[in-house]
Amino acid sequence: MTTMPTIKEITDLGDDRIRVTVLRDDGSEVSGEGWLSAILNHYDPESYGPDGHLRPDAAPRRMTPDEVTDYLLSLVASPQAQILSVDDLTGIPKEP
Amino acid sequence: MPGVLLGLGQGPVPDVAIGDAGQTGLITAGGRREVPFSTTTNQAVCVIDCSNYRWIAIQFTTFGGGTASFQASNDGVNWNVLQLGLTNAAIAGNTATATGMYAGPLHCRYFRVNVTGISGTIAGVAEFFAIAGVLANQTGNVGINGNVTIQAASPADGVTGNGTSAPSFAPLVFNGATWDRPRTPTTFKSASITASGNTAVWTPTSGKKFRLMRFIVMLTADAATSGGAEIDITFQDSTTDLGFKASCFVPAVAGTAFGNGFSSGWIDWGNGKLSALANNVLNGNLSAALTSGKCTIHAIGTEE
Repeated sequence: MTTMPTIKEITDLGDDRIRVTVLRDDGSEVSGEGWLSAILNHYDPESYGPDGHLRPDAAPRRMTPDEVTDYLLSLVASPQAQILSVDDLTGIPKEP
Repeated sequence: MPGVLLGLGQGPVPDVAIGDAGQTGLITAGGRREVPFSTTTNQAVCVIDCSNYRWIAIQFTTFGGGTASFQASNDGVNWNVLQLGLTNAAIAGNTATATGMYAGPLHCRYFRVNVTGISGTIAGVAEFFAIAGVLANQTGNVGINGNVTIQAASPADGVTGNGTSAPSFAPLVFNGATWDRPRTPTTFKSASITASGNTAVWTPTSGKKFRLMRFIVMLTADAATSGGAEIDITFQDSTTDLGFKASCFVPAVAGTAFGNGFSSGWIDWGNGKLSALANNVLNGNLSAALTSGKCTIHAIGTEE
C-alpha cells in the first residue's frame, strides 16, 4: 500500500526554474524541476479549444493549492515509486 | 578498482565523487554539493566526506539557541576546529551562534557542524564547492580538467535517461553567458494563417514552455490582401514579439497562375528560443488579413 509522497522542499533556482524535492514513504528522496510560471500562468482545461489551442478569450490564473501540489508531484518521476523485493513481485505469500 | 592515469599507467585509487540531486556524479571545476541540515538536539550535523570540495559556504537560516561548531577531521573520528568567516562582517571564527552565512576553505577530508547547548531548532544549508576538478573512478578513465571541461553524465537540467544509464558525456553549448544542453526537435507544429493579428501555431502541453528551434514561413501564390499591401509575418511569444519578421508584398487580386509564392526557407535558430512563461502560445502574426491564399508556418522545437 502506498501513501501520498510528501513535498519536502521547493527551491527557487532563478530564471523561472524551481526544484521540488519529494520525500517518498519509503524514506527516499527524489527531485524534479519545473517552472514557477506554470503555477502563476495556469489555464483551466476549459481554456483550450477542440483544436488544442488556447481560446482567444482565455485568461491565465494562479494555481490553487491542490493544483500546485499536483503540479509539483508531476515534476518528480514516479514520486510514489517503491523499492520492491522479489517477494513483492512474485505475489507468493511467505510461509508463516 | 584503481584509477588509471592516461598515459601514466595505474595511479592511486581515486575518491568516489558523490553528487546530490542537483549536481553531477562526476565532480568538475565549479561542481557543488548541497547538504541541508536541521536539528533540535545536540548532535553533529552536516557530516560529510568533503574530499572533492575545497570551499564551503554554510548558511544558518534558523538558529534557536546554542552553539554550532565548525569542525574538521582526516579520519572522521578525531575532530579539530575549523575557522570560517561570517560573510557580511569581518569576523572569523569556528562557531556560529546566530543565523548568517559563513564561508571558507576546506583543507580536510571530513567536515561537520557540532551542535551543543541547543534550545530550539538549528537549520540551514551547506554548499560545498569543487574548485579544482576531481573525477571519480570511471572504469579506468581519468579525465583531465584544465582547459577542458568534462561534463558529467547528468547535466544540471537533467537527462532523465532510459532506465539504464545516461550518456558518458553530455556536450554543452555556450549561450554567451552560461552553458546549455543542446536540444534536438521533438515537437513539430504547422498552422495556416489568414487573419490579421495572432493565430496560434504552437500551444504547449499544460505546464510546459515551447522552445522554437527552426521554422519555415510560406505564402501561397494566390495570396491577396485588401488594397494590396506589404504584409509582415512575425512570431509572438503570447503577445511578445520574438524578433523574426518576413515582409512580403501581397497584391490586391489573387493570382491565378501557378507560381512559387513566398518561402522563407528553413530558418535555424540553433539551440532555440525558450518561451518566457509556461503555457504561453507561439503565435504567428500577420499585419493584415489575407483575402485569398494562406500563410503556412511549420515550427519545430522542444517542450520543456
